[in-house]
Amino acid sequence: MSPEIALLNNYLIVGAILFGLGLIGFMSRRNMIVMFLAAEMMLQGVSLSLVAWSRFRNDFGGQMLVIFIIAVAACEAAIALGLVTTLFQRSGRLDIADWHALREANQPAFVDEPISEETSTEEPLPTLARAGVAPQVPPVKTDYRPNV
Amino acid sequence: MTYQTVLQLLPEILLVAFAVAIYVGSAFSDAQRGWNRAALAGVVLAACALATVHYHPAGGYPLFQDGLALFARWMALALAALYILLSFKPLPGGGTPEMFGSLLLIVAGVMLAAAAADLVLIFVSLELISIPTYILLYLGRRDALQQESAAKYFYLSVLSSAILLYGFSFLYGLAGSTDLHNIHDVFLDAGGLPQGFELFAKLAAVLAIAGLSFRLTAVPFHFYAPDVYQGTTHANAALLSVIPKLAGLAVLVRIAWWAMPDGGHLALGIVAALAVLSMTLGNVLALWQDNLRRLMAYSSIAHAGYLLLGLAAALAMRNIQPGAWDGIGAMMFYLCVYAAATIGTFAVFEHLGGSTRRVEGIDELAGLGREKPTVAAMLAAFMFSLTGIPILAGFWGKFQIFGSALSVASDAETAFLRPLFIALAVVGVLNAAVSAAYYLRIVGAMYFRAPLGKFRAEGGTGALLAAALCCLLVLGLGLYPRPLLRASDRARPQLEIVGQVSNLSHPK
Amino acid sequence: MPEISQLLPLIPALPLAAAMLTAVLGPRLLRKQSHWPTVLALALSCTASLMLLCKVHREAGQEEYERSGYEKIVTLYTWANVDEAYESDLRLRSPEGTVVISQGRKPLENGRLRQQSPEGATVNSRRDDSNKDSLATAAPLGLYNSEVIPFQGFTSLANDCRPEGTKKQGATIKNFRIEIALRADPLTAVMLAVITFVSTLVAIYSIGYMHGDPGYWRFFSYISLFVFSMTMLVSASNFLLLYVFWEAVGLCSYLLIGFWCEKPAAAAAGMKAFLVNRIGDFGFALGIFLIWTTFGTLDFHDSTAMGVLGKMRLASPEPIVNGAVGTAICLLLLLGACGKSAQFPLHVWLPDAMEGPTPVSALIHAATMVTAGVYMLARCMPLFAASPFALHAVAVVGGLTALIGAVVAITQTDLKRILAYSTISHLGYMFLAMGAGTVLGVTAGMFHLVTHAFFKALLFLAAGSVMHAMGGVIDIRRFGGLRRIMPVTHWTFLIGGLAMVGMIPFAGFYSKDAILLAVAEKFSFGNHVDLVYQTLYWTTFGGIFLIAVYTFRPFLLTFYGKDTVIPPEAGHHAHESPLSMTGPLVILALGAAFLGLYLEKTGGLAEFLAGTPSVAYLNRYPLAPEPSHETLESLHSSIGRQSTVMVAAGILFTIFLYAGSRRRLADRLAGPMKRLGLYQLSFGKLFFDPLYRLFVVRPLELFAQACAWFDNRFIDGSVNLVGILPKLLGAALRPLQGGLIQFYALAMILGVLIFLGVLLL
Repeated sequence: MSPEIALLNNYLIVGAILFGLGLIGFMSRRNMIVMFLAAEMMLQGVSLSLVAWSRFRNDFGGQMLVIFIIAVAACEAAIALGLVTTLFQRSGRLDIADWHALREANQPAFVDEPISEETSTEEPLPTLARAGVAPQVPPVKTDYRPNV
Repeated sequence: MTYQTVLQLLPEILLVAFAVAIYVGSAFSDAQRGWNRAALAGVVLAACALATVHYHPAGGYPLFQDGLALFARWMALALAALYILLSFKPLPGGGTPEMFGSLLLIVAGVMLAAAAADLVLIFVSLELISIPTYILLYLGRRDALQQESAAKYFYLSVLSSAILLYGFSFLYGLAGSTDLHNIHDVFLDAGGLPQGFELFAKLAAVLAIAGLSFRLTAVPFHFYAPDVYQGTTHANAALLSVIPKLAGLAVLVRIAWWAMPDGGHLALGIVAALAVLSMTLGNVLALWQDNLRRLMAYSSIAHAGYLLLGLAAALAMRNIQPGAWDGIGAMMFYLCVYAAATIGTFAVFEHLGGSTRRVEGIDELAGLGREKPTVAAMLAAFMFSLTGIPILAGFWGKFQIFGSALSVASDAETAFLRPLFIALAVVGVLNAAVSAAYYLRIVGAMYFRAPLGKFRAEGGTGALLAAALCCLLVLGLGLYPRPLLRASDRARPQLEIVGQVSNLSHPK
Repeated sequence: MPEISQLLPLIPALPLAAAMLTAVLGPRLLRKQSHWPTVLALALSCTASLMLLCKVHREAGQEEYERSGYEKIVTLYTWANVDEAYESDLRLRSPEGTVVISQGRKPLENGRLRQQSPEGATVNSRRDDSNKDSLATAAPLGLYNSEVIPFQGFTSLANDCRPEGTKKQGATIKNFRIEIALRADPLTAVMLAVITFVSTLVAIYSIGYMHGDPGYWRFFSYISLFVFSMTMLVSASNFLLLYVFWEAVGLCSYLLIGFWCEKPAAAAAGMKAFLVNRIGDFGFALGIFLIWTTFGTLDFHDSTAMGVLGKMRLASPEPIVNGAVGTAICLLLLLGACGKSAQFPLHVWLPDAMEGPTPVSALIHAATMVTAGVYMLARCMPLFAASPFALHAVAVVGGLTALIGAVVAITQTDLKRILAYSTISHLGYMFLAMGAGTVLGVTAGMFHLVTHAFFKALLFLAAGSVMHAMGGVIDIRRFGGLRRIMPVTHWTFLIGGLAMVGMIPFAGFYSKDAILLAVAEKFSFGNHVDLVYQTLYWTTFGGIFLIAVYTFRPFLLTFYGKDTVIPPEAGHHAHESPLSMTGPLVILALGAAFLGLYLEKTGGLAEFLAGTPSVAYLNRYPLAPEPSHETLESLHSSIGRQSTVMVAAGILFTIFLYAGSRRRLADRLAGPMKRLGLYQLSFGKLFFDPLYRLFVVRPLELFAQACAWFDNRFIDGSVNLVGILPKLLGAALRPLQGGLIQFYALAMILGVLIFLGVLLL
């Protein structure tokens, strides 16, 4: 394997990993902004492999395409922000799963089941008492997962 | 970039210029009327400009001037005129100028996509379709369902764009050039693919077809369609059911059929599977629908299946035998008659609705035959055409599609594909029979049930005019299909392209 | 003067336009004025037909057409043409074609082709384009190479029974064209003139007759539609088109018989006419299929292939199609003709068809539509000429029908039914003439068709006038002595009656004698004695007496008698009909009186008709040596003398029986007849209806019930089962559409992964 091809392989693998991460993020995250960022990550993966190919082939067409991708992604980001803002104004939440009113007529609605926080069954290790007064932390509302 | 290129691009340039003018003009004016006429003027001017573009059967960079490009560009302009008529009434919630501006941009995008001979141009033109579509989906009604449908379309469209682009990156990597001619040559040269690059060819084929299938609403990339159609306006649903299909098909033909000559055997299986899945799933799910737009969405999915059947035939028989039928011509013909019937249907729905209330369910059409016989007759004609009943245009469409599949089956060169294509044709015919059930349900509701209430029919005469034009098309093409058959037959791009032709048009 | 190609399409187009206009505007806008479009269109159409007749007459007289006959084809529209594709295919595979291909294209491995040079490119693309054009025209019918192969079997079969000279045409048997082609030739021109003329008069008559009917616009719309169909039928130059309009006139007839569909008898009569006609049409369709498989074309004229009745085929003295196939075609066509023209054994629908309005009876069921069978036989005469058996069959059917109609008509009491049976009988005479298979026979039959159109339309319209005055009563026993209150109707009826019985010098005399002459010619000369024709001749000669009786019996009963008897239903209607009704009567009466004389003395019609290609063929290649002109003339004049005596005897006999106070004589004569059962036989219409009911309808009904039971129980069940499967599949798939974007994305990605997996593994 010539070094050129090896280099290409490496770039392509990184690009594929970026694309795959974006894909997984797109499917697993429910925050609309994070979803969009995941899609952007997919585009970055594509851009990376395009640039790699461009270098390998010694042709600038791929890099030109990357510049267009970035420009278009910027447009889409603007639209996405506008859309997310209006959706947030209506529902007050950024959760994409809230938006499933349009579906087959007889299908049950999606019910969000709260996932309980993981707690350790082991005995907590003994700790030293801290000096001063511990602050009062308000309890977190758990009808949705705030950190999705 | 030469003077000739500018001339070739003049229709699109005019459309974009009008769109920009409308966008900018609307910022300084509160008027809601008159924009439709401006948009129509833009379309007419673009048509005049398009009339000066010459037909050139082979080559061309960065734009093709072959039959496919010209056919799709003319069709896009015709569709644009129909849409402007269909949505001639200003939007109740404002945003009318933006709507027409976006419409013109979308049409420009479709025209570019059909003619583009470069991956960059294809990508940009496809985005030129997508981005205004997001805006269009968001305009119109401002209720939760509409917003939900806009969000669904947006996110899934972004995903599909990414998938398509990833496919493009491999295509680019294989050829080392974004020029489709070069990609074509790389695939064409015997042993041209470097060792170990078959993987990339397969990846490119699958990803590109998958990305474009989203626009075709082919199963399993169809999921957005029913929800989005149901949530949006009639005009938008009409747009979504035809325009992306036209662009997607043209690009699919260019990439999967034209630019990847050896990709045929890669793509054939996928396209055939997509065709069968789309036809079947679209039809069986449409049987259950009560919402008219949702029903039409499934119908649109099913018709995407028929279209892909034509593409499969074209992929199987790249060198058309004399006397056999061309799958691509059949596909383009089918798309035209499908577009006429579908836009007509939505135009009728739009016409029947009021400014405050839309026609939603099949029940609302009950007794239409008695109350409004002309409109009902038109809708019945569209339904029969979509079913494929003879003497209406839809019959010839199905006939062409199934004929092209059968001509693959009967050709000696492709004898090994005979079982596949006979099976495909049989599935297609069975599906056409199933589809009759839900189309005729609408006809039955119109003619055999008592009206539930008064028909307001406040959708305006523009929508009625659009419906009448579509009805004329459906009837006229049914009785005299030859002109369109001839035109669609010319839409098959020429295969005999060699290095020197592309070198001539290349700056290198 | 306009060209034939302009006139010919105009003739059907005008009534079609009128039909559509009336159908659209009639119910709302025109209402009581609905007759205007129809009357105007028919009048214009009639003018155009007469101009066409003159034009054809002038052109057919030219010397070049003397032997082969005159025809002019106007192709309006070629709907589908597979022929071109096939030919271009041949062109591609010809040696020259391959030269072009090898210049322009270099075949590469696995079938790929590449262009090598710019020159090659231009050659290629141009050739490709022309090829694609023809493919595009071919596409709608979808017959491509492999599909036409089955016809080769038929080709060989057809070749076996075709003369040597035409065998090479087997190569073009794969053509399939649907062409809307109209033809102008003497036969068509005469038919068009008769149809449009009579229909114009009937339309004018209907203004008065249908006045005040709730379905006024509907009536005129149907009439226009009928005239359109009928003119298309006679001008079509293609068996397929002929069949289409054959059905179309049947449909119009059905609609008009059942015009008063609220009357159960009318609805039943319409149904009966339609069903009985179906039997004939079935035969006709089979005949057309057989023609297609034998000849490979359905065109009459020569186009790309040699037409069935085209000049090329007719130029050869050989029979067109021999043997069993030929006879089968002829018999099937005859079956079709029997249905439409109400010939035995399918004549039963025509009397019932009288339930329709009287103008309809006059136009469709006397003058025009029922003569379509005669027209078709005349057109296809070259086919029949090859089969003596088929000719005998035509003659026997005609003769038998002529007799049956006459016998039944004698005792009927319904004025219109009497006329209906007389129509059946006269159509029988025409069939008999066609059955002679000679020029004399065909021209005589057509001559009788023309004169019959006039006098029978006249009689029907006169009967309608009586019916109109009598408030719908049509039973001749219930009125009498009407000549005093209805003088015009009386005189025109008398002229029509004299024409019908064939009294010299009225129209029927000449045409009837021409028929008798044509039959007599078949056995009077030469040493071969044809018993069939001889028997038929004497039978039908005797039938003339019956004609006289059944014509004058209703005439005398209706218009004569000591007192004027008027049924109570008549009310204040009992007076002469309005001018719109009497006008057409007078015009038709003039025709019935003088037309025969004119056509006979000028000798124009026979000579003119002989210029039709089909008839010219008979002229060129007669079945038997023709007798000399002098012997024919002497036979003709002797027949004329004998038949005049016969007619006079019949009329005097009827007057003796029915005129004045001697009416009881008829009753006295009826006594022994009743005892012999002859009267019941005639009055019961020879019991065709009950017999058919017992032996055809009942068994079929039982069979249908059995089928229905089986269908409901087994077939429907399985069909419903199949029908429910897609729905179940849909139900199973519905949960996929749950509305969550993430799920949709997942499905898309899974789709991509599955495709990738299949491709990569």
